[in-house]
Amino acid sequence: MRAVRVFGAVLFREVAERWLLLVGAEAVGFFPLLVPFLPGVQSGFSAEFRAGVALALCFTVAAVLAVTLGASVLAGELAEGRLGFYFSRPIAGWAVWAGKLAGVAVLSIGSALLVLLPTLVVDRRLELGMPWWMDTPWTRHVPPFVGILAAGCVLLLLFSHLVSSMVRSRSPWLLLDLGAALAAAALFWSIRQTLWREGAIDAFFWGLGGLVLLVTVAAAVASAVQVTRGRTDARRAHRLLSLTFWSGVGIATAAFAIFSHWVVDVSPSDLRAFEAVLSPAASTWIGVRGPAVHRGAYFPAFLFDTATGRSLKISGSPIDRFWWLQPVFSSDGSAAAWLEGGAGGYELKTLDLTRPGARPAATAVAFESWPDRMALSPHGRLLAAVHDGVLTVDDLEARRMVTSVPVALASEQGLKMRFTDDRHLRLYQALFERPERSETPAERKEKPERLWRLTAFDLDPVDLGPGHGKLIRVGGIEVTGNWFFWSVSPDGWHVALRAMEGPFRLGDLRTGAILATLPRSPEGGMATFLSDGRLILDQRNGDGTTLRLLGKDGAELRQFAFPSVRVAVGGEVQPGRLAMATTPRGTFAEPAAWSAFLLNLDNGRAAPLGAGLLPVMRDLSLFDRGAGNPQSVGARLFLRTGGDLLLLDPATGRLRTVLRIHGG
Amino acid sequence: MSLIEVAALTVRYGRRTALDGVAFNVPEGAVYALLGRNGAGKSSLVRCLLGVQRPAAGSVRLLGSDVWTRRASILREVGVVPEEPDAPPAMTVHQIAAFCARLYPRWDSARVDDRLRRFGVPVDVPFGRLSKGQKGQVSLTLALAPEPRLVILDDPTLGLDPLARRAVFEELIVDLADRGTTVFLTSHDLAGVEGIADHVGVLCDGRLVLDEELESLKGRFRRLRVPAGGEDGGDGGLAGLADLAPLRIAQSGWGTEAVLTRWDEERLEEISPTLPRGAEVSALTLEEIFLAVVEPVAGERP
Repeated sequence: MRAVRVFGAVLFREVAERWLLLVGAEAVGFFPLLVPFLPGVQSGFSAEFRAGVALALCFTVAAVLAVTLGASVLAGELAEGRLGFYFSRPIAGWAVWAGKLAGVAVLSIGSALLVLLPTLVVDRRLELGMPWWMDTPWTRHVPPFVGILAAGCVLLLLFSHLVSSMVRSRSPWLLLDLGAALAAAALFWSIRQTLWREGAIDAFFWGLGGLVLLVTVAAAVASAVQVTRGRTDARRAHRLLSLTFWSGVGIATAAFAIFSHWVVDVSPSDLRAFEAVLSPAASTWIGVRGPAVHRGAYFPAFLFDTATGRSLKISGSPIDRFWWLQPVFSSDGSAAAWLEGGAGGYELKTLDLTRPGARPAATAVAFESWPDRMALSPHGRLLAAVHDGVLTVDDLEARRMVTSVPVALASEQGLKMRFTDDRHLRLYQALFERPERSETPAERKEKPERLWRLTAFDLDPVDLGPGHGKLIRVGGIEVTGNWFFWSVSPDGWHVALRAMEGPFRLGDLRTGAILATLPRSPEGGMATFLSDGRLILDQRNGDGTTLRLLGKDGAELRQFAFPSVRVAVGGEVQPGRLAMATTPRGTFAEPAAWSAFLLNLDNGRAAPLGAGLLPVMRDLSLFDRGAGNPQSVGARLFLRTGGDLLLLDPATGRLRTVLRIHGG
Repeated sequence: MSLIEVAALTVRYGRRTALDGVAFNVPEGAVYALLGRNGAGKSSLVRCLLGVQRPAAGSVRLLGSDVWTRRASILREVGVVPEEPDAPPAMTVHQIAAFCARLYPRWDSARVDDRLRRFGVPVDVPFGRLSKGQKGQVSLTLALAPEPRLVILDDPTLGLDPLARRAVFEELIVDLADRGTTVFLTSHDLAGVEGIADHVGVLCDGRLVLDEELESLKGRFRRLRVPAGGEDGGDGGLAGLADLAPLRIAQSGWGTEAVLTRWDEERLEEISPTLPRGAEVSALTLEEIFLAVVEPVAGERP
């Protein structure tokens, strides 16, 4: 009880000595009330202006007082030898530390709240007009806002005290502080880069939150040790402060490093779902990506051999390329290539998929930033990439660039490319007509549909030197609309278009003609090319789905109705046989509710595969996510309730477990 | 019972040793004066006594308890006057007194008011605006207000004018007379100290070279002056006085002067026939003893 009384005495003394700050803050708080009378403030928004100015002043006062008082109280008194007054009296060290810091915290927080008080009284509400980036349930109302403001003030106070103590002690330990700060910053940056490159952003912010919490605790403990054990000896106090604080920071940073290592140290069995599956036409290897368990929105990517169970973790996509899927395969399935972040950018790695036990190989190809597109030639010798408006083709075996050609990029969806054979690369470039410069925004609004042009080019990169390649136009099509999803047929000459609003269209790139225009259901749907060039269109209506099989010319060949059930359209496991699943009520997150079957597109017969099964590749055409080759291994994979990944043998119709993922 | 027990106290600052194995006790009711030149280690010792400096070795016990671990509870019975008055400069004397009153189990407010009135210190003026003498008087007033069993004063008269110095010592004497408070003080004002101290310690280069009662100290130190001209073999005739531990033997044109540190009246009578004619023996003041101890000519200390 006596200790609390002494603590209170120290706290009260700090506040009493600087009580004029509170008066000054209250005076500042009346300024927002004058804002509506300032010229240029619209009368209808006076309350918003008032609240905005009051909040800005509140934050400013809180921050300025927390920093200045944090730097002067305790740290300043210690450096100037004025703490002896307390230590020559019956005041416990913790009471000096806690009383003084609590006193300046009360002053900082109290002053900030006093700035807000007049505005709250005039507006007669306990709701704050937060800017959008702070408008959360925690900050919208006064009570939680006070908690956040107090936490922020305490944080600033502690770190201001810490820095001030280190600088003002004039002790050689300052060199240790600088060294430790640099080491901690370097380690933090390395962790940040690791998680950022892997796209483990949630994990990064969780770790960052934990790090901030631990470092704040370390700062509080260190300053307490500084005062209670260092007492009036500024240098000894600094030594204790530094040792305690940097030990805490070291532990916190090491914990963050261990956490980040745990986050990225995943295997395919740590996936809780498959977001995407990539697979070459002829290989037992697949590329998989999906959310990892207990790691937030972290989607690691793997190369996985369905025959042997061997897996290789490859770098995930960076946050600004979240839609990008790694790796790229050669169409013969002999090679895979992917990018890995390094010190100076991203380096291309390859894996020989034909050789058991092969290890990733470095190449001479590197990019400063993530490229826009990449493709491997059918046998994996050439790599084409579009980066920064330039198409380059590298010979990976000869370790040299064979050509580079400038290309125009309209958007991320505006370019696709594939090797048509070992010599030829085909580019599909989509461009919207640029609006006239003279058009006003209102005029543009009245004309939402613009001309959209898709052009196919061929490039023969072999035997060309950098800068000598030439793109030769081989086809194209022009339509109007406001946005298009598009996919190209396996032969490379047909394109399925789906506007954001409007019908499906099937186009012939050689002639530029629209072969067919097909009605689109209100709930959207997908168009998927089969291996023979036919097209499957799924149209959703209410609870049911209708699958329409279209010929190469767009003529409807058959319809398959699935009333009152939800349908998942998977891959083409054999020519004309489509993996599918239906559920009366389930979602993709619940394989248990689904029943899988193979649909024979020629005769309409369904061969059941079992209950609790869901094709891994489903709804594939949107954004090309999981765009596996028809009849590839990926098309034959099913996810079973409980997390088993099963591979269908189309010859026998049997399913074999190839992997068990976390919880399905 | 000893209110201060210092044993084998060693304080180091890096490679420099400020205190080297210092040991002494201050019995209850005593007035112990610690003397020493600047840099002798007095302030380090006071910091150890107040529990703000952790010794490298040894122990410091106040009122029977280790002061480093139980500082706050011990200081409830201890009044402290620092070398530099360190009260918050923005607070008035009245506010400082009110703050301090909440910290101690006893607080004699009436005596505080009385003392400050007698000193002529304005109570509503911020501490920072007071003169150095007034600040010292406020510090002394605050130190005595909780009726402590022990008062520690670190050079309380430093920089004060003679009147202010006298006021400090008179105030201490009054308090001693009233309550028999134990006092530990460091000071360069040896004349003032001599008036109130009953124990003296002398620190020299971090070592305690003297620690005894003032009466005993003054009893065993004497100055012996032997005029020149006698047949003394060049040593002023002091050769036979080795057992009186002569210190500071100085020779000049008029003769030889020595400070005897183990004065013995009977022994002197035995050897007096051998001394040259005109030899004189006189007592030393505390200041003279201090000077003799901290600046030994013969290179040794008593």
